[in-house]
Amino acid sequence: MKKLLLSLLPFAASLPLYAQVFSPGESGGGAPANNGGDNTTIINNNGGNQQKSKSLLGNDVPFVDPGSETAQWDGKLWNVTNNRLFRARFEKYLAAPEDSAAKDKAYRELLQGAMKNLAPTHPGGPDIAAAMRKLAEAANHPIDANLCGSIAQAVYSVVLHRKNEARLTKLNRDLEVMRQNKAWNYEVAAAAAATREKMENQSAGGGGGANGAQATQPKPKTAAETTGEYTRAGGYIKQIVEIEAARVANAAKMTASELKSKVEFQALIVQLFLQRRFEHVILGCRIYRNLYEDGDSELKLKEGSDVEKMFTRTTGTTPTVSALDALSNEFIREVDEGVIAFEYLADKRELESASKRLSEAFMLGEYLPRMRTLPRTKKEKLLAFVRDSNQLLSAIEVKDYGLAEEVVNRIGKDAKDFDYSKPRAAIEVARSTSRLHIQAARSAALKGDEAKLSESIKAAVEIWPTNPELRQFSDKVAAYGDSVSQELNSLDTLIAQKNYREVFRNKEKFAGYAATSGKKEYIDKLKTVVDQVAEIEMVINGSSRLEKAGDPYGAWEALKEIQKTHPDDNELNSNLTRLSESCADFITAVNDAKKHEESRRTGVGLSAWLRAEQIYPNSKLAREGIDRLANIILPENDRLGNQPPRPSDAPEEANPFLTPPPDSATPSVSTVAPR
Amino acid sequence: MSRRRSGLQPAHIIGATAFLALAGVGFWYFTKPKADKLNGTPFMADQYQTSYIGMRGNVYVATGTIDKQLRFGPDGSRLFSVKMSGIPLPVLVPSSITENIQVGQEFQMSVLMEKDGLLRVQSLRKS
Repeated sequence: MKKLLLSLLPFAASLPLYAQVFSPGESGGGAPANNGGDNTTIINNNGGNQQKSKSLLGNDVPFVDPGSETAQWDGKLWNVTNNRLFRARFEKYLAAPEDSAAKDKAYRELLQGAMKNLAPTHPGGPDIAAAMRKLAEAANHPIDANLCGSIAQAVYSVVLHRKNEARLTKLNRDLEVMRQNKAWNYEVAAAAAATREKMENQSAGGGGGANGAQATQPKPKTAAETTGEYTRAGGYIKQIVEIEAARVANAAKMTASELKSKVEFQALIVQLFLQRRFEHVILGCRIYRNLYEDGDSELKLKEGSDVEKMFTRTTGTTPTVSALDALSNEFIREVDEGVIAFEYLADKRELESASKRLSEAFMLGEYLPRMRTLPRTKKEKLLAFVRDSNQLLSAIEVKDYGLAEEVVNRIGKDAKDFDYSKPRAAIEVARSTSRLHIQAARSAALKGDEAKLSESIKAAVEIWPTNPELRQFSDKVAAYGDSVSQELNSLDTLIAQKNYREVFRNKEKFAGYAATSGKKEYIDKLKTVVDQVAEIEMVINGSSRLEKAGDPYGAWEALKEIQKTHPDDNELNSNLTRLSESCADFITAVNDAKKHEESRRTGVGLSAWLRAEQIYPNSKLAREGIDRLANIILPENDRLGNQPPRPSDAPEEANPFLTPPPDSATPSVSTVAPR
Repeated sequence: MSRRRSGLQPAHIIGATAFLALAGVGFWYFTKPKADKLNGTPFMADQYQTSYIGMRGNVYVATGTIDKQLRFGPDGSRLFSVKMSGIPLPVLVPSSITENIQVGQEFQMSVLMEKDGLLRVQSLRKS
């Protein structure tokens, strides 16, 4: 018995899945599905066996494995103590107020009264009619869910069956009388025919004395006479056989009707058992025994079904109505003990154990009076713990380890017996692993390895999506990425503006961003700009030294030389402008020379270069100008005497008479490049 | 009362001598060789610097000191930098003039101002 009880406990615990919540789909067990519960594993069963016998208490019933606290049903494996459905239902129970004591008491009294009416010890024997009256009254209570009415209806069905049986019994009696009458009538008719024949034979012999021998011989029958006799006999036999067949059929109907009524009643009892309405099960069992006094209480379960196997494997006997009666009583006691244990543990603030005990009792006896009348004030102690536990499971399920840690700390304060080792371990493992990936991502970011960075962040997200460290890092990466982009854009703008000095001043910063971006084009651009500005700086420094040594023309000329390739450098132009004051005459001569040279006025241009050389004899600019123009006037190297055409021989581009040259005394403004 | 002197007086001798000298100078002036005469108006270097355009095509007589030789052409033409009034100017001496020209020597030159401002020597002589 104990063995059966232990095996049935988890079975009963899984019953809400069947009796109250689950609605089987059409997909069958073979189809994978997501049930949404925790620790739920999809079992890829072949649907063939599952679908073969869709019958009452066949394969539709969940099969519970007590060892693993799981229920297998329709291809899915449920953890009966840890699924979202049960958790939600249990939380709702804890938050609900207890049933009204007065109403519940009246209801329980009606059930107890019905029990007493059905007890063998009831004065005058069991009174089913009185019990039915009480059940009809109990059915009016909302908590009953009209189950008592269902029992009353089942009893009424039995009564109807009994009436039908009585009618058939009477009919059979009538048929028997009819059959006897038919048989008697046949016997009488046969006897009369024999007598008549005998008399006819005798009368035929007395009328002809001379033919005495002939008189003793019966008169042969005509064919018509013989046929008539057989026809009458056949009619009698046929009627008798028909009557007998009707009797047998009625007897069979009575047997079948009785079996059917038994099966219906048993099905109701088993259904109530599955719904954990144990009080109703007990009532049903006792009514059954009173209705069927033949002692046949064996449950008519489908052979080979899960329920049939469960009973036969655990008890080794055929399941009976009495077994359900006993089990129901045992479950009621279990629930009572569970609630007592809960109250004791809750008082000691051992909320985890209290939660387990009450949840076990809840699974078994959700509708039992002990559970329904448990005061909400007592349940409230557990409500916060259960909510936190559910939140903890949800947090771990969605990998929100930050919230999980917060909940663990909160639970640990309230529940003395809370075992936080598992959630702590999960949190720490997630944190450490996530941190490692973030470190790897940081390292990759510093190296500019975008692929590795992306991979590490993805791994960290998978482990702990809401990790605050990950969020901080991601924000930094995003901000850094933005700043890199902005700085590179800024570099582009400065280069486009030819503001190389600004680039040069921030070369370290730009070098860092260019390296981070990993874009070689920016590194090359920056290097070109920096090299250019460095070259200008070097020339400016040399120019300063010349100026300090009293050679302003040399200083100016050095700057002017570098200006050819870097006309937009502010620093360079600024120095040129400053030096132009002290080198005005030289600059004037040079500008004149350039102007005339550009206008192809070779002679006067040469004279201007000579004048510049006279001012600054070391002028490289003037020497080159002189060589250039002198070579035009008189090519020195052409031994064959082939002179290049003199500019003066070519037509003038501009009429110098109409456009006299500007006053060459003013230094050219070309020394300052426009911004 | 002094007595008035008659005959050849010293004043007569001095006057006759002066007359003869003047006559000799006049004879030399009008009878000297024409080749030694340089054609052109005097050259003004300042004007060249400010507005050479109006001087183009004219022939000037310029006096200057040879500063340096800039080029020596395959045909014997020479290009000099000649300082005139302290201003260095380019002067082209064609191959037809074969006179020795050395740096530091001062010359009088008859020069043609070319279109591009170059001074082409037509004749010269040491001054």
